[in-house]
Amino acid sequence: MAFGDLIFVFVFLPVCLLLYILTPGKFSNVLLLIFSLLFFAWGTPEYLVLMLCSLAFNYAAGREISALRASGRRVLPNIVLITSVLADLALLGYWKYAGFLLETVNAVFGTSFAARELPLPVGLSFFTFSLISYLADIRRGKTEGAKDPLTFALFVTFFPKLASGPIVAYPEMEEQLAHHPFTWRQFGAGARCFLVGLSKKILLANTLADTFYTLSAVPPEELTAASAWLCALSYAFMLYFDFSGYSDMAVGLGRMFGFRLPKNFDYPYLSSSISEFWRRWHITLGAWFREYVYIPLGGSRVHPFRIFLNLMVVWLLTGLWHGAGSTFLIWGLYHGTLVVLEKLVLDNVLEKIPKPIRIAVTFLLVVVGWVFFFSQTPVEALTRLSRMFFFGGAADGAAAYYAFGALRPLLLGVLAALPLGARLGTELARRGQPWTLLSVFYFAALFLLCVAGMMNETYSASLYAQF
Amino acid sequence: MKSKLIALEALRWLAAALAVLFILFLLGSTPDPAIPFETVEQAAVSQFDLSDVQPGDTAMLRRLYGLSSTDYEGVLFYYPASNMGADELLVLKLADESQSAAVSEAISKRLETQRDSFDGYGAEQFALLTDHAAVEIRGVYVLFAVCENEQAVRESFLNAL
Amino acid sequence: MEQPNRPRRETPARRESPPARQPSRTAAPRPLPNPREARKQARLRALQRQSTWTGVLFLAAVLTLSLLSLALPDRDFSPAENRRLKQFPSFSVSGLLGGSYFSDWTDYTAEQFAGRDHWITLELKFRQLLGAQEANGVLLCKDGYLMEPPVEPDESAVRKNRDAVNAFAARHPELSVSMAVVPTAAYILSDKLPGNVPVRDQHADITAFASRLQNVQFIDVSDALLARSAEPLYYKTDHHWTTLGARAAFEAMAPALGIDASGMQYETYTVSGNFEGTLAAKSGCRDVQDTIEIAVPETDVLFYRVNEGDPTRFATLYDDASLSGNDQYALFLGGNAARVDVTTTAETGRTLLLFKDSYANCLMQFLYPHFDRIILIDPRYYYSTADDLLLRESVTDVLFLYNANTFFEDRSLCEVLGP
Repeated sequence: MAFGDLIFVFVFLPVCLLLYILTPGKFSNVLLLIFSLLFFAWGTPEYLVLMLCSLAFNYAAGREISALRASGRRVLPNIVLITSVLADLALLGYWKYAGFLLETVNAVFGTSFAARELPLPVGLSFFTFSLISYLADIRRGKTEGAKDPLTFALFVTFFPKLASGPIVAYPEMEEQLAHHPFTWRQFGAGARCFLVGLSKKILLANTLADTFYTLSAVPPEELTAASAWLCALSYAFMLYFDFSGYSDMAVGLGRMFGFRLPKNFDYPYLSSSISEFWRRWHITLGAWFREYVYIPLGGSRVHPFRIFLNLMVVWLLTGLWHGAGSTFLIWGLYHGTLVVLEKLVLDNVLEKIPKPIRIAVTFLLVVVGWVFFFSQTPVEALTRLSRMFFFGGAADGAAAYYAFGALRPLLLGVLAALPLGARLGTELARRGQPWTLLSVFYFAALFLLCVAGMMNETYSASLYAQF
Repeated sequence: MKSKLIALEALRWLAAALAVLFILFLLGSTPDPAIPFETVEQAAVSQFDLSDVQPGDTAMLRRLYGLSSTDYEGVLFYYPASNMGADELLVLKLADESQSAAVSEAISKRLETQRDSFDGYGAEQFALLTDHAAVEIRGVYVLFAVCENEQAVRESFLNAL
Repeated sequence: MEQPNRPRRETPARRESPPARQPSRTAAPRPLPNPREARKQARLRALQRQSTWTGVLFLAAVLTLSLLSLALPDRDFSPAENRRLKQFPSFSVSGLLGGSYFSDWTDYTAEQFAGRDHWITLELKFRQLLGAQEANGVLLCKDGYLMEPPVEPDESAVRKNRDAVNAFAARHPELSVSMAVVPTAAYILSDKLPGNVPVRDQHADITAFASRLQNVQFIDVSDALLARSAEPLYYKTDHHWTTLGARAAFEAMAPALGIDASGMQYETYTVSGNFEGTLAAKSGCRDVQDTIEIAVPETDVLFYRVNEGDPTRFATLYDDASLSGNDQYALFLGGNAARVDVTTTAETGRTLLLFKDSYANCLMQFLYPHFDRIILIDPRYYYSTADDLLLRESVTDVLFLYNANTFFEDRSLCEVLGP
C-alpha cells in the first residue's frame, strides 16, 4: 500500500482517523500500532513475523544497553550494540545486497551463483537505519530508550514514516510518543501538508514520469542533446517531486495524529553548493550519516587526509544505501568528490562567485549525478552524458515531440520547486477572508485532480518505496 | 538486575533464531520428489470443472506451449473445448528441476498469447485469464490452471505436495 | 510544504513613556497592545482557521467519496474500459497469508470507486492541458483521431509465420495463395499524427516481410489507401478500418485475386452514429464518436453464414445486436470466431480459405459475391490445422489478410499452418 493508492486515502486513512479520534488517549498508541503493522503487512503479510522478530530483538538490545550503561559497564554495552547493529544490517544486507554481491562475485570469479529473489519488506532501509540510530543513541546516553515494548514498536513502524518517511531519531519522538493530542487545527495543518505532498506526487511526479519513461526507453545512442536533456531534467524533477511529495505526505500524516516529524526537503534545487544540497535533500539521511558514521569516524576534527577518507566512506555508503549497483556507487562517489573539493579546496573561491551562478552550476552538477543514478550501467550513463553534451547532434524532430509534451510539466515543476508558492500560500492564509475561502477552493481543486490521477489504474508507487 | 539482563539476552537470541528460521522457511522447502504423479494429478483435477475442456495430446502440448511431453515424468493437460473458451489445466512432474525455467517461460507465453487474443473481444475470457490464472512451480511439480475456482485448484495441488 | 511553526509570541514588555527631554522623537506612549501585535495575532488566528477548515473539509470530502462508493452498487462490467471490474474480495486464509487478499482489496477499491469513468476523463483532460499527446499508449491525433503507434515486429514470431506461409504454399501448389498485410491509420493518415512524433515506418516493415515470401502473391494495398487518405478510411476511435477503407483496399486487391469487380455497385447505409471503439476505451478519450456504414453489393448473389459450433444459418453478414452492445464493430460477422463458413449462389467455382484477423470481417461485404464458398479462420482461436481442414474441404484460393499491428505480433498463424 502506498500513500497515493485510493485504498489508502479512502479506506485505510479515514478508518484509522475516525477510530483514533474516538479512542481514549491511553489506547491511541495501540491503535496506531495495529494500523501501522497492518500497513506494513499489506501485500506481504508473511513478513510480519520478521518484523515482530526484529522488534523483539532490538527492544531487548535497547533495554540491555540501557541497563548496562546505567550500571557503569563499558565494554559489554558496546558488544551488545555492535552485535545488534550487525544483525540489523545483515537483514538489510541479505535482502538488498545479496543479489548485487553475488553478481559481483560472479563477474570477478566467473561463477554462476544465483540468489533467490524475495520481495523487499516495506521500508527496510529506513527502519533499519532508525533502529541503528535508536541503539546508538541509547549507548551514547542521549536517551534511555523505550521502557514499553508497544511504544518502541510504534516508534519503529509508525506508518507515516515507515515506507519512505523521514528517518527519525528516537529522542525526537520520545516525548511525542507519550503525548500527542489530537486537535482539529493540527489535523488541518497536517491535511494541508498531505494534500500538497499528494499533489506533488500525483500531478507533477507522475506526469513527468511519463515523459521520463518514454525518453529513457529510447536507446541512448540515438538521443540528441535536446532529448537527452529533457530525459535528465524530467528525471531530476520527477525524483524531487516524488520523494519530497512522499515526505510531505509523511509529515502531514504525522501531524494529523499530533506528531511533528522532521522535514526532509528544503528546496534543494536552490542550493548554491553540493554541500548545501545535502543539507536540503533527504535531510534526515544526511543527518543520519553525519551523526552515526562521519562523526564517529572523526568528523572534521582530524587531519585533512582523514577528512577526505571519512567523507569518501560516507558517500560510498550513501550511494550504496540508495541502490545495489555500480551506478549508485559511482553516483555516491561523485557527490563525495565534489563535497571534498568544496570543503578542502574551493572554499574561499566559491564565496566570490555570485549566487545565481552557483545555484545554476550546482543544479547542473546534480543533474549530471542523476544521470548515473537512473542509468542501468556506467556505460549507459556515459553515453547519455555524451549525448547531453552534444556528441549526437543538437536536436531532431523527435526531440520536438517530446519537448511539446514535457515543457509545461517542467515549467510547472520549476515553479513548484521554488519556495514562492508556499510563502505566498502562508501569507495569504494569514490575511483572513477572502483568502481563506480561496485557499480552500485551491486545495479542493488539487484534491479533485489528485483523485483523478489516482484513478489511473497503472498507478506507480513512489520510487523510494523499494528501499 | 542480572536476571533481567539474562532474560533480555535470551529474548535477543530467540528473536534472532526465529528470524533465521523464518527466512529459511520463506526460501521454500522443496517438496518430496517421490510423491507419485497420480496423487498430484488427482488433487488438481478434483477441483477442476472438466465440462469446458478437452484432453490434449502431445501435438497440442507442443503447439500451445512448445513443450515436448516426453521430456517430463508426468503430464496432465486439458485445453478449451470450444475455440472461445479459456479454461485450461496443465499439471506436470518434471524429470529434473532444471526444466522449470523453460516451463515457466512457456506458461507465461501461453498466458500472454491467450490474453492478447481475448483483450477487447472477450471480456469474460480476459477476466478469467487475468484474475483467475494460477501458476505454481514447486520443485519438480508444476501447475497451470485457468478456471473460475483456480484458488481451490491451487490449494488442492499444494496440499498434495 | 509544511507551514512554518509560529509560536505564540509573548507580548513585549511595555515601553516606558519616554523621558520628557526628548518629546519630539518618540510617539506618545500607549498602554494597549500595539497594532502590529494585534495584526500578528489576527494573522495567526486566520492561519489557524484556515488549517481547521482545510482539515474539516478534507475529512468530509474523503468520507463523502468513500461512503458514496460504498453505497453505490458495484458494477460488473465497464463499457468505458471494455473489461470486467473486480468484485468484492472473497476471503480465504490462503489469500490472506499469500497477500492476494490485500491486492484484491486495493484493486476493488479503485475499480468500484464512485464516478470512476468521470475521474478518468478528468485526468485525461488535465494531462492534455499539460501538453500530453498520448494517453495509455494511444496517440491523440488531429481532428479527433486516436491512433495506435505502429508496433515493432516481433522478429522471431514474424519469421516463424513467414516460414509457415512459405511452407504451406509450397505444399499446396494447386492453390493460388495470396497475402495482404494492411497498414494501420498511423501510416496512411500520418498527416494527422501529432507533430514530429517518432513512429516506425510501418510500410518498410511490411515490404521487408513481403520480400521474403515465396510462392505467395503479396498484395500491397498501401498505395491505394494512400491515394485516398483524405477520406475516412479508418475509424477515429477504433483501430479498425471503415467500410470505405475496406472498399478501397478491396478495389486494389480485386485484380490480383482474379476478381472483376469493376461493375459492382454498392448501397451504403449508415447504421450507427455513436460508435466508441477500442482506442476510446484504451485511452479514456471519449470526446468523439464514429459513424459505421455498411456497403451492400447490388447483386443477385444470395448467401448464408454459419458460425462454427452453431447450426443457425444467418442470411446476413451483420449482427444487429452488436450495435447496442459494447463493441459495435462486432456488427461485422458478430465478432471474432474461430471459423465461419459463408456459402453463396455465386457459381464462380472458387472457394476461398481466408486466414484473418478482425479486419477481414469488414471486407466480407465485398468478397462474398465472387466466391461459391468462403471459409474464414481466425488462427488465434482455431485449434485444428490448415492441412486437416484441406483434407475435408476443397479449396481453390487461399488469402491471408491481416492488419500490420496484429500481424507483427501474431504467434498463432504458424501453429495453424504447421505440419
